[in-house]
Parts: sequence; structure tokens; C-alpha cells
Amino acid sequence: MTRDPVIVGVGLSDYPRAPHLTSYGHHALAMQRALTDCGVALADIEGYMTSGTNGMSLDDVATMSEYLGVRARLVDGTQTGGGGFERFVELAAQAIRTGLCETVLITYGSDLRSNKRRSIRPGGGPFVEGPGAWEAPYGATIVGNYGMIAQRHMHEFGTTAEHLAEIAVSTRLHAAANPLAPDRTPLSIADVVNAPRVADPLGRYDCCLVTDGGGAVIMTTAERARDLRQKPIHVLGAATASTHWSIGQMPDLTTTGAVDAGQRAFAQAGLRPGDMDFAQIYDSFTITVLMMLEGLGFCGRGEGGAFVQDGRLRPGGLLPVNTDGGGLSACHPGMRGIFLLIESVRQLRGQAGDAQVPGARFGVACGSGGTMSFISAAILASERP
Amino acid sequence: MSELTDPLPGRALPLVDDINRPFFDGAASGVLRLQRCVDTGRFQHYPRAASVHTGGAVQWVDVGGMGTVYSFTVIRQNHAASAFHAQTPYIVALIDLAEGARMMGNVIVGAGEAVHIGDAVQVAFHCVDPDSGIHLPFWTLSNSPEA
Repeated sequence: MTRDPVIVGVGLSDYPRAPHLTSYGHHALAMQRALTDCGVALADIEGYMTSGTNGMSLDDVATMSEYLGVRARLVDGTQTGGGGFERFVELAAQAIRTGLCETVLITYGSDLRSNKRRSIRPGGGPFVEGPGAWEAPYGATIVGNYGMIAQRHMHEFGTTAEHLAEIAVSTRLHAAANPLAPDRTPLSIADVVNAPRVADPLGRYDCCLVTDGGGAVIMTTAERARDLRQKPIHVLGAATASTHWSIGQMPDLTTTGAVDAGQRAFAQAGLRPGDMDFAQIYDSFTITVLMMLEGLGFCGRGEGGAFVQDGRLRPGGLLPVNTDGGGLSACHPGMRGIFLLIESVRQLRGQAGDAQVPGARFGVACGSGGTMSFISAAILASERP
Repeated sequence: MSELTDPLPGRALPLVDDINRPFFDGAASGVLRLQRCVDTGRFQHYPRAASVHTGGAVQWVDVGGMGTVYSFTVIRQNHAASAFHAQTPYIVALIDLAEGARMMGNVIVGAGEAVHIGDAVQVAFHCVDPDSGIHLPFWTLSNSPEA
């Protein structure tokens, strides 16, 4: 099938600190590097997708396409939170397969760390409209919202702070192979559980970093990829499921749309979780990884605490997770979804250097947006099975 | 020193509109009021212009103000610019109301009291903005001397 959708180009801007770049600059530098990576010309881009350029503004895709010089016939700027970039892959794959366009660019950029005016803190007065009006007046925080999820998971399944801590520990071990990671010193379980709590039961190391960063992904057909520089990475399946946006509207704090999105994505791919050589999982918080692993079917509901033990997620483990050091220990500029794709491609091309998972053929990138509200999973492969 | 239930400078406040006004009118008179789906009889919160169960009509109903803690967190750090910074540590919880809807709120505990999932709580309203007169629901443990 020559119209099979593939990822041909990826690019990162600069992280974790890039005071020389605005959010717009992150998009442009990442795009430039992705174009160079694969040999696609800017003039060949027919589809463009982005969101979250400056917080939650609605005109991202319009202003960014102008800034980048993209003249697109297909655009999407739907804001579904940090996991929206896996959803863009889903949409781009459909558009490429049906012939709506040949080549699609997806970008992200954020100066969250360096721009002191930027914040993703919820609330802010004086008068709040819409769903936020029912949470901001109580001093809810993003960490606190995930804390409530973790608390409920612990209550129902006996998950412990030590279980969650293993995710922070394993991610830091992956970060040791990433020269860009701001802190590559190994963490112990005791370091994580004894660190100051931010919002019970989550402590400092259960929470992602706040960095700058940007990324770009270029997709086209398998046919077109033959003329390009890099080995194409196949999109075998991609699916999205939403359940809510605000934490107060989450139907059940211990299950997510990853169940539905994962089932459909794996079914499209004709693969199972056990076939994956690695997983890049949205790690806004340790609990996010645990819940996504459960939802995707790597283990049963409530079994995540046991599943992550015995070094399973660590370098050399049975399921290496977040092999670039993740949002917990390398790069989280507010929305992390695009980095899951870029790291997956790096692994599947065999270009991951010291972080390479030997012989990696299949991987899943699973993004989560909001408070585990919109889940999008993409199954990627170095070759079609 | 101010309490969480006091007016806090800079606290985000709900914008009262024609759709949610019955909730805040109820709160100001000490009554918890929820929307109920006319078709199914199921409750919903927050207030909306239509039922999330069927898309059909909703009606307002006074409810009992009793619930249980579905989950909670103790916020120990908040941004220094936040109105809540000086209130840390404080409790944010999701309350499952007896009638079936879920609502976020603060559980106010006395010295030495702790909150657990499943704890019974009851509502108490406090004016958090004298200018607008907005009252918000807060929660206390039903078996507490604070209640």
C-alpha cells in the first residue's frame, strides 16, 4: 500500500532552557530541523497541525502557519491538551491515506521555562466562566488534581508511594543517557518518597519538570518516503478517546480513555501491548504513567503498581518507558505529546545512541491531555508486520 | 489571619449567569441546589443549559447537602502569587453527593482531624466576596465537632 502513512522527519528545538527562543521560535527551529532531517521542502507541506502555542489560545494554527510560511489545504488546531499530538498523527494518517494531502507537518513550541509571563496555573481571578468556575475558587491545582487520582488509586488497589516512585526512578535512569537532561543523577525510591509533598500523595519527584522545548514531525506516504533521507516509520494505528475535561467531571478516577483508545489503536495495528519493544507514555506525573499502562492493557486495572516493579520500565527492562528521560527528568514544556513521537521515531530508526532499545521494531506513544481527559495512542513500527 | 472560608484577596470567583444563578441564590440562603434531568431523574453538577444525560431539559431541586469523600488531596504547595498560597496546607476534595452528583470543594477540618476517602461530610456555606455576595459551599466531617 503506497499510501500507507509514515513519519519521515522529526526535529527538536532546544531544551531544557532556551532563553534565546520564543514559543514561535521553538516551532520554527524544530520545523527547520525536521525538514533538514528528511529532505522535505517547506513548499511541499500541504497539511499543518498545532496547538498550545501560547497557553490555550484558539488561533494557534492560523498564526503559526503564517509564521512558518506554511500554505496548507488541511489544518487542525484542536486543543485536546498535551496528548493532542498523537491525535494529530491519527488525523494526518487518515488524510494521507485518503489522498486529501501528501505531506503533513505537526509542530509544537513553548517557552514555559524562560518566559516569566507564561504559566499554566489554573484559576486566576476575579471571575471565572465555564467549568473552571467550579474548581478554581477552591484553590485546586494541577498537581492536586492528579493527587486526587493517585489517592483514589491507592484507596481502591493498594497502590503505594513506593510503586509510583519506581516510575520516577526508572525515568531518571533513562535520563542518564540524555545529555540534555537537566539532572542525570540517579534517584532512589527513598529520595522520591521522602521528598517534600506538593499535593498529597504526590511529591516533588512525582511531578514533571517545567522546561522550554519544541518539536516537529513530518508525515507523508510510504511511496513518497522512498525519495527521502530517513527510513520511514509506519503509523500502524492511532486512536483517541475523551471522557471529560475537568477533574470534577472525570467519571471514574481510576480508569481512562486509554482503555478505549488503546484497544482501537492496537486492533488497527494487529498487535498487542506485549508486542511493544518500548512505550513512550505521557508522564506529567508518575500516576499518569501507571494509569496509561493499565489502560493500554500492559497490565490489568489496578495492577500497575506491581507491573512497574522489578525494573521493568528501566533501561534494559522488559518494557523500557520514556527512554529520553521523559517529562519527569528531561523535557516538559507544558504539553509533551510531540516528544513521545520524536523519541519513538528515534528508537525505531535505531538512532537513539546510548538510549537505544536493541532491535526496537514496535512502540506505542500514548498522550494524555487535561486531567487524563483526552487520551490518544499511536502504534508506530520500523516496518509493517 | 484569614481562613479558607473567608474572602481571600485574589481568589478566583465563579461568574454568576442566568444558567447557574439558582445555585448561587440557593447558596446565599443556605440551601444546596442541583439540576435534575427531567427525562431520567438523574442529577448533574455543574449547572448547564441542558441535561448531560439526554440533552433534554433540566429542573432545579433543593438537595440535602450530605455527601461522602470520593477522593481528596492536601495542597501543600501553591504558587506564591496564588490567593491560596498563605492557606497551605488545605484540602481539596471531590464530594459524592447523596443524590448522585459529584462536586469539588474544600473540606474544613479542625486541629488534629484528618480526612479519609469515604468520610461522611456535610455542607456549610460561607460568603467569600462581600461585594458580590457570592457564597460557596464548604464541607465539614459529619462526625466532627466542627460540623
